[in-house]
Amino acid sequence: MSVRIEALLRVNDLGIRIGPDDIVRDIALGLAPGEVLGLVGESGSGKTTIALALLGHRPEGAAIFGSVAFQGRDILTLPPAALQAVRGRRIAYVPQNPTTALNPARRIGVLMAEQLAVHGLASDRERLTGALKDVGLVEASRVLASYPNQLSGGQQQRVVLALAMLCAPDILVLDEPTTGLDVTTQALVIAHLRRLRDERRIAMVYVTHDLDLLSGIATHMAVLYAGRIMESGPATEVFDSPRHPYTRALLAATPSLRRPDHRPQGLPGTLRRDLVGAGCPFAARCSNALPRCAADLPALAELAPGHLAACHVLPLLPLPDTTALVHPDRTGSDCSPILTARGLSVVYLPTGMIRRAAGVPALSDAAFDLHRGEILAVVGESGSGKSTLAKAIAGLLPGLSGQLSLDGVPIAPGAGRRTADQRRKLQFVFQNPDASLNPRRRVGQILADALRAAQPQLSIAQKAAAIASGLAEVRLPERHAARYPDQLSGGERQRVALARALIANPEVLICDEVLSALDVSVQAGILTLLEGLCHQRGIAILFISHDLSVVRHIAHRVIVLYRGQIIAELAAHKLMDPPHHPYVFQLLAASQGQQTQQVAAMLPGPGCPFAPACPVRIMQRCERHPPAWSKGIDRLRCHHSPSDLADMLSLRERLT
Amino acid sequence: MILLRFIVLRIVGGIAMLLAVSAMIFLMTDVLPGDVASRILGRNPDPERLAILRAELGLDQPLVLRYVQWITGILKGDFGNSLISGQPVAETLGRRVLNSVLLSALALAIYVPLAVLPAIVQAVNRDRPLDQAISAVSLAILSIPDFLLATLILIGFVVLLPLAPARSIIEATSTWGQALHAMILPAATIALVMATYAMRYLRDSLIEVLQTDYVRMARLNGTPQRVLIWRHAMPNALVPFLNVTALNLTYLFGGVVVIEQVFSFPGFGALMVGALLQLDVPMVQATVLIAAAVYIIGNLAVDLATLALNPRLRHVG
Amino acid sequence: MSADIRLSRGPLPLSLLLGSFLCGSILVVAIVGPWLAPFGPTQLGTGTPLSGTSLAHPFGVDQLGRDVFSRVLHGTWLVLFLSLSGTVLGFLAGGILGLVSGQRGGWFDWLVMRGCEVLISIPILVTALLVVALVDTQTIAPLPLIIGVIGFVYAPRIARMARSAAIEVATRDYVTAARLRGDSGLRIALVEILPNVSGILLVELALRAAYAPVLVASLGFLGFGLSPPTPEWGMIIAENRGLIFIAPITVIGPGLMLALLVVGINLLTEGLARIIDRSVVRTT
Repeated sequence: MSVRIEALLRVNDLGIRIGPDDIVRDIALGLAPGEVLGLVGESGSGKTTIALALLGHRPEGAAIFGSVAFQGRDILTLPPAALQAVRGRRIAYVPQNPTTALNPARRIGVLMAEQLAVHGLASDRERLTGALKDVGLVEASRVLASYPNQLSGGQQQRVVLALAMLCAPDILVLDEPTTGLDVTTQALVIAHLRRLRDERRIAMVYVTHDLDLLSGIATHMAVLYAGRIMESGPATEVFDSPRHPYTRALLAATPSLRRPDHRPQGLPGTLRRDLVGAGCPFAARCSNALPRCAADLPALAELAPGHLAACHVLPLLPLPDTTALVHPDRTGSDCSPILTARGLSVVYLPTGMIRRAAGVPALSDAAFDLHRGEILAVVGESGSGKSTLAKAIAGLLPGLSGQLSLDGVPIAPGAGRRTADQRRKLQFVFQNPDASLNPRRRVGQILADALRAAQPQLSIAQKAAAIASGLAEVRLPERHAARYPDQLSGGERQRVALARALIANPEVLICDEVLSALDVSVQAGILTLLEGLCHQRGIAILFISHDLSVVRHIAHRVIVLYRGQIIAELAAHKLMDPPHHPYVFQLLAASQGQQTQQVAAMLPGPGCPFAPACPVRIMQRCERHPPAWSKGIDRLRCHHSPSDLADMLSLRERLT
Repeated sequence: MILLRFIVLRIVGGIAMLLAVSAMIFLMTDVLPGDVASRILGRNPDPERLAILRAELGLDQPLVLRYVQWITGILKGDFGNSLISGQPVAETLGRRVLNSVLLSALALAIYVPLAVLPAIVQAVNRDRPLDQAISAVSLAILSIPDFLLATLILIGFVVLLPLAPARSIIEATSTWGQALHAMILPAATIALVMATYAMRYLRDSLIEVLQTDYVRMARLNGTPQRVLIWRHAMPNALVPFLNVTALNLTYLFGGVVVIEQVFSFPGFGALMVGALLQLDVPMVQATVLIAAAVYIIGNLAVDLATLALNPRLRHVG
Repeated sequence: MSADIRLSRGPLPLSLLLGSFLCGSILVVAIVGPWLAPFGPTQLGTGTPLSGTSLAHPFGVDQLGRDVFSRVLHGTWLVLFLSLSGTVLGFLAGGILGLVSGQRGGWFDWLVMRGCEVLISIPILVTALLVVALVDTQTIAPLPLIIGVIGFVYAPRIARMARSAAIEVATRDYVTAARLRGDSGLRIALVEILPNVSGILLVELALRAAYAPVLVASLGFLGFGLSPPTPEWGMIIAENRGLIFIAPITVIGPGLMLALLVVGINLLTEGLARIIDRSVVRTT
């Protein structure tokens, strides 16, 4: 934390309370120009509430205490007119979800002009196009004339950033601005923010749950848990020597390609705000907790200049060991494949009254083998076709062309035409646990429904036993069977979804982005569960994900999709080793926070799907001719030879 | 151009719907138990007279032929002749429709501010006493059946505070001022009924829009409250309001029958009820068809207005 | 995460209590009214004709010398019976049609929806008047006729609503999960879809039920369907309309009863909607 006297922003004793419940308490922060404060927390930590409080916004019906001093004046006590003058002009907010933050009925240009007009600034066209070009939106005129829904997610996010920068504010408050964006777009946005930080000396408060992301931009950090600051200090210090048990646990749970050998470890339990007592809120889940911790609230103590932490156990803990944790090498199984796919293709036809000429190929000619006891990861960004692939195998796309065989026997593309036994063997776990469980059925009933379909011959007693052991297998207490889904946490619901798939005794499990909707500390637990299932029960898992760092740890093999085509196939532990397919290289670099060079846009053609965006493309050849597979088990499709690729593309060392 | 195609298709669909409705109306006046002719003649009619009446009504010709004759007649402006008066339906219809159009226009003019302004007040003062009071009053008025409401207003403004005529008659010779004076009570009643119904939807819609991320975003950017409501919230909140108004339109040309009766207003609804009571078949067919046409055209207009207000939909392919 | 919502309902909303009270009272009146009424519904010479309100005649006496209050009491069951049966009929027919149509999709769905649209094009009251006027009361008795008409008028509107609710739920993941494991269409409709649309349907049912008495009374007011001297509230109001400047209570009395019934149903609706809202899934 900055000890400078003329801090730009200083928050003292901030507390927000609704009724008898504290949302946040005792928040003290400081910010100087050119500093980026990372506000880290998981769901329920109160980070968004704090971010909004910095703009003088409080939740409905909430009482707010303390002060938020901006250049000496307390924002919380400003009269409405003065507050309006500060908001958007001196302190600007960048929201999490750009799609809902832009008025769908107004054009971008109108929105931007109004933003300027509201603050009494001239809204001439140069200013608007300049602001858009600044964030990397080159076709500024087109964007100004567009409605939000005509732009992609990445473009919307950049528009929102441009809006925030429009009045040249002193402080930017960014609320998870890159959630939901592709890794490559994320890297672009972060790079731009770094430029703002370094060149224009703009101060930022960056709210996120993603510690890994912060390491690329934050100068300072504050770690939140249940509405209180657990630890704060300069970013490098908190990253390299975290002192608070929660910070350490969070770092341990976060997979990162910057620390490729570090295996994510989960945190037990979940945050129960209603059960937090008088003492340290983290006590219930802390492995170092003493009896004193649950009773006595620890105060923030200074451990090193600027580095504070609130914990009773601290002085007793040794400094953390930062040597890498090595995990056993993962080689694939030698068994015969349980699931084979050849030539899978899906074309989405436009529906509705307005028909376009051709359909869009969502998947072209996909082929792979999944062996027993193997975890095969399918990686891609949005639009890659990975969800389509998952749905196709599950049987949700009857219009699928190609061949699918389960255990050597061909199966029909549509689930309706498969035998009951085939349906039982191939189970699907959905991405969003909030939507995949019937809110009107109890957990036990949900499992019973699945059991009835898969093993109708069981007796009532046998069914009850199966449900009980099903819950135990996913580490859920038996009493959860009587609960409704909305009484469980997100992680617990996902475990129920998993249990529902497992109770049918499947041989193949398709996991469609099953971690995306969960907190980081919870993700690792599910990962461990899945690994256990694979080892102990020999279930083959098709793991769909966009997150390379997760995939590296859990999978045996990885296939990478781009625009519906498989462009690389390799062993997971070889992901970081050259030769890299140019697209995989781009993904890896972006995951490490590095922005790769921009390429002039081009229309997709019959050749390599990555050609339009490839930095090492060979004109004419790559656009016109589809590349062939390289040799070997770990292979890729590129016109360049693997040795050439190894020379051209190498991952640089991590930049500070 | 895709947009134009969509609009054209929509209009064609509307016409098709209208034709289907006309067919159904024709069918209904024909197929329901009890032949129209025997109904007119009462119980145990003389078979000869029945046959003559049937031939006169043209009931002995095949159904489809009669339907086609009817439709082609309409396209030429001929709705047939009234069974009761013998006069061409189109004449009486024209006058009455005009009266009702005037009444509806006046009612709509009162309805819009009557529904919008309290809704805004409610949305801004959500859950506070003012909001709850307006809700309670609106619910009370909503629950009073329209004919009763009309009756109460009649007593109130004719007997207690003599402001308007007891019978709202307007004739071809009336001046604008006289017409306005005559129509004000029924128009106000209609507006009140429609407004209390729509106010709930508009309030809910406004509250929802005021809680969206983009309105919050505008607020966080320093936009003052007044601008927020009128330029950010209203255009988006108007869409469901328009839909509800469209629903109400059917009321204007159909359900408003009872109110016309109470105020003795010579409108379209009264004509229709009279025709139904007397089983004046051509008149019945014509009036019901027009009521349906108003609904269909009204909905089409609302759909097109929605497209104008909600540009997002324009580019859905 | 929120605590167990199902067990701790919290206080029942005021609207629900008030609504239940009103509806309950009227129900009681419907049942015991005919016994408690001081006079018969067609009894003449009960008092001075055209007299206003008094203790003996709270709603006055009409021009034929009948006690209006007694007539209203006698007619209560009629209004309730006709409205409720008609609404339930429309609801069953429309609800089933809409749910099935929404689930099946394809040409069946298209056909059903176009048919509903055609029927909906004609306003409710107009359709009702049309059907009642054209049907020969020799063939069909007036009471079943009115019930049938209400059902006929409501069914397409409810079908449209049920269909869109079914479609919205049918795209959810848990329905997909059920389809993947091979559950039959019927099972999915009953177990996965129906409980999750029941909230919306219940609100729609109550909405229609609130208008039904008005529809019945409007028919009676205009002189369609039932014939005098049936003590139907709408007819009573119509018959006494001429007295409105002399003895307004003869019109306001029955009108007030009708209004109370509608208010009661509306409050009940609102209260139910609040309770259903509370037990809806809450996500973090």
